[in-house]
Amino acid sequence: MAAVLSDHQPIRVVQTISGNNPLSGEEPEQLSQTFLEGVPVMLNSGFIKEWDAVANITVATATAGIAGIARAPGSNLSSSGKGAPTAFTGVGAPAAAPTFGSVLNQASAINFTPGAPFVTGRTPFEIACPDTIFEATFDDAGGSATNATTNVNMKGKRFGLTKDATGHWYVDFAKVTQGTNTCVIIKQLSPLDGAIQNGRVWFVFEDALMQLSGN
Amino acid sequence: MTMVRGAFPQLLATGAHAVFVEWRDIKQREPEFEKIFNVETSTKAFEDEFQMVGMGPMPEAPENTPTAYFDGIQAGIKRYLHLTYRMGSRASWELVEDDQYGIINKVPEAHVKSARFTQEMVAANIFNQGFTSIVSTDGVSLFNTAHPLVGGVAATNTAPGITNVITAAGTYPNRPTPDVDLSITGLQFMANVFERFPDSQGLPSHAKPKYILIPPESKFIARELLGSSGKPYTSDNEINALLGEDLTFMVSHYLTSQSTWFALADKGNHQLKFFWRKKLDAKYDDDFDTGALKTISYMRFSCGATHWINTYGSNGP
Repeated sequence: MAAVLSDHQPIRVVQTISGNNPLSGEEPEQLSQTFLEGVPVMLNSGFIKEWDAVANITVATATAGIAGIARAPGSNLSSSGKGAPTAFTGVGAPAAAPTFGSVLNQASAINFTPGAPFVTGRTPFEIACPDTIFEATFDDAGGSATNATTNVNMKGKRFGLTKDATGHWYVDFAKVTQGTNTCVIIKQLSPLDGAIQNGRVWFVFEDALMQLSGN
Repeated sequence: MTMVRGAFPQLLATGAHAVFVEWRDIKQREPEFEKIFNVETSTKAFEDEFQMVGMGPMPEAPENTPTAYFDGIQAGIKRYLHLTYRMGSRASWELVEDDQYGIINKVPEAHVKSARFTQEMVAANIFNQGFTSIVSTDGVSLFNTAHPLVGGVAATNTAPGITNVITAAGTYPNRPTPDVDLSITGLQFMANVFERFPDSQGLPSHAKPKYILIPPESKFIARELLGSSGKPYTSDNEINALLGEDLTFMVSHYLTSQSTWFALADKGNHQLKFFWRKKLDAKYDDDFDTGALKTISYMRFSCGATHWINTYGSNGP
């Protein structure tokens, strides 16, 4: 059964508890990533990929969980971390996307339109940490408009995240089994929405799922 | 971390004859990358440079025959994507107040030394990694034994006298096969490679090496090779023919190998670029709650090679 909405807003940072800038990171991207901006991402063997939606974590570990929310779409790299700078080096080729065509007699040369979006080989993301509060749309994978309606009793409760057909993720009414499929804790309803159908909710990630900042 | 008084007890009492402050009392080297790279400024997030290739030789046209037409060729593109470099330091208000030598207030000067090192190291890594990961518009390593020419085999067929220089038809080297130490024969081969440098269609270009870039360990042999009036290391009374090449050597203190050496044409005749997006600058502020003094230094730049022409490198033996 599909969720009530077919598309949901990208997850974004709305606030930090400390009032400081949200903690951001940038790590080399895994090959073939085509995720959208504002989706949960994870570190997988040192490379960023879209979160695999595995929330069943019994022990806090750096090998699974959520690193944060992507601030840029995936670059569909041909190899993991391609072009990413290392210590005292710049960004390597191609440094832009998309590339096109070929160069006569130069199989390794590339072409892209001057001014094409830049690619660093890394994914910038807002780190999932206790200080950072994110915002996402609330919905019900079961398709119930009633269940997709936010209410004040949700504050402090845990829900999971589900990916819709467009590639965006939403806070899912249907995922409420802690330790199995939940990953966020609702802090409050969006003050702009209040208690409405498919309202936006503000949340923090569960400690056990924070790859870079959990306890 | 914030620097606090407990970590700097010597600064809190007068009486020391002198304080040896490394970032002030150790003389810094002059900037080196500015002597090597074409330094430009940028006002954008990145700079794109691409290569256009002209035509080969003009053919003879028999009387009253149609003209043969040839096309220019668009070759590869190179992007210089500026990166930000930044560091900060923090000192407690009490430490700043109680420092009897005024050293803590000068800590931000240490950022300058750090920034200079980063500039030099990133630039030098164009050479250090030029045999592997640094590429120009043709997509192969900057110093390569077989740069593919856009004109292909026709280009090397056109270029006069290069058969003893190239390793494969359709390519041209700017690196010896195999790599050699800095030596008479190594320099002579390099000079020949420069003399024969073709463009992408095989037409000879005006190429002349001016600088030999070497690590400090090679400066003695460089002096012998480039300074002896007679041919070095022989008992014959031959002249040192390298003198006529008017080469000078430049020591880079940021080359990581002790056996690499490079040759470059004068700036402006090669395509090694360094883009300043933001020169080193600093911000100062006090933390309202604690009174701690915070300093941040930052800069943005990028560097690389648009094309390998008029460069040459050997990765030692």
